[in-house]
Amino acid sequence: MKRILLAEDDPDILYMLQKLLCSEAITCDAVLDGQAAISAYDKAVYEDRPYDLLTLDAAMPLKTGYEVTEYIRKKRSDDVPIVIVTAHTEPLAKAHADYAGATDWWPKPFEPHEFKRRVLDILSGKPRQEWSTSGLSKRDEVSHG
Amino acid sequence: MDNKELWEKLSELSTQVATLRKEMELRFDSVAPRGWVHDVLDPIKQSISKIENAIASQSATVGDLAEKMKMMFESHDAFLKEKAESEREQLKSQTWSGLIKKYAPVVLFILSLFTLFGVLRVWIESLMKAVPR
Repeated sequence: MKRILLAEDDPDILYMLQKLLCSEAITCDAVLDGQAAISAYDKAVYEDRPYDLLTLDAAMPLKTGYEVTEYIRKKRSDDVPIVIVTAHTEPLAKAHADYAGATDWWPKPFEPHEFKRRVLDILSGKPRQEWSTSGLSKRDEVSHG
Repeated sequence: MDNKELWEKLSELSTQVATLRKEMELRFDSVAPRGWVHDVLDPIKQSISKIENAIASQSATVGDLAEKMKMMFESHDAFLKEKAESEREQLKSQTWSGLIKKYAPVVLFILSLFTLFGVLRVWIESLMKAVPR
């Protein structure tokens, strides 16, 4: 059983992600802001039930996805896969994701099934080169080259 | 190469240059009084000093750059949080309770106007009745 933490401040998108990803094989925890994401992460570590993947919205109240990533990487020294999902595809978003230590960043809006395929690629432990290569969205194709 | 790697490379280079200077001074210390030693060593020492200065300058530039990047990302975080907060507020204001909260003062104002006009009407009517025809 794999565990995912979904952090997204838009309840509609969060609901859609839960519907898309959560199944008998994947347990999802969902939170609406960055501070709640940190609390959920700490709780999971404390209970020795760590997450296998975190997908974090970049723009969230209280703490951004980047800040949550920095917390996990620098303060917790954890290399759990973290994906930043952002509506911004400018170079700053990519640079910020790299700076924070995110595993990858994916643009919004995205193709739900492609999103799921990439999540499954990460959860199955595939190396990055073998992740699904088709674009999550048209903007993704542009920004990822 | 990111900033961290650059820092590490510069630090490694700095250590290597320091070791080179130390080794050179140790090896040639015993023959230092001889004139030709200075002719050979002084240009090398000057070159080493130049390399050390260049490394120090690069380290300062990288440090400055790292500080600026940190500031830039912090303001990006602040911008994103502010944006998310305002979107959340906007969403809140679209709910029934949000709408009631938003328009309650206007409704109260209109009601108070009606009440005031009602009172005024009664008062004027009573005045008109009181005036002898």
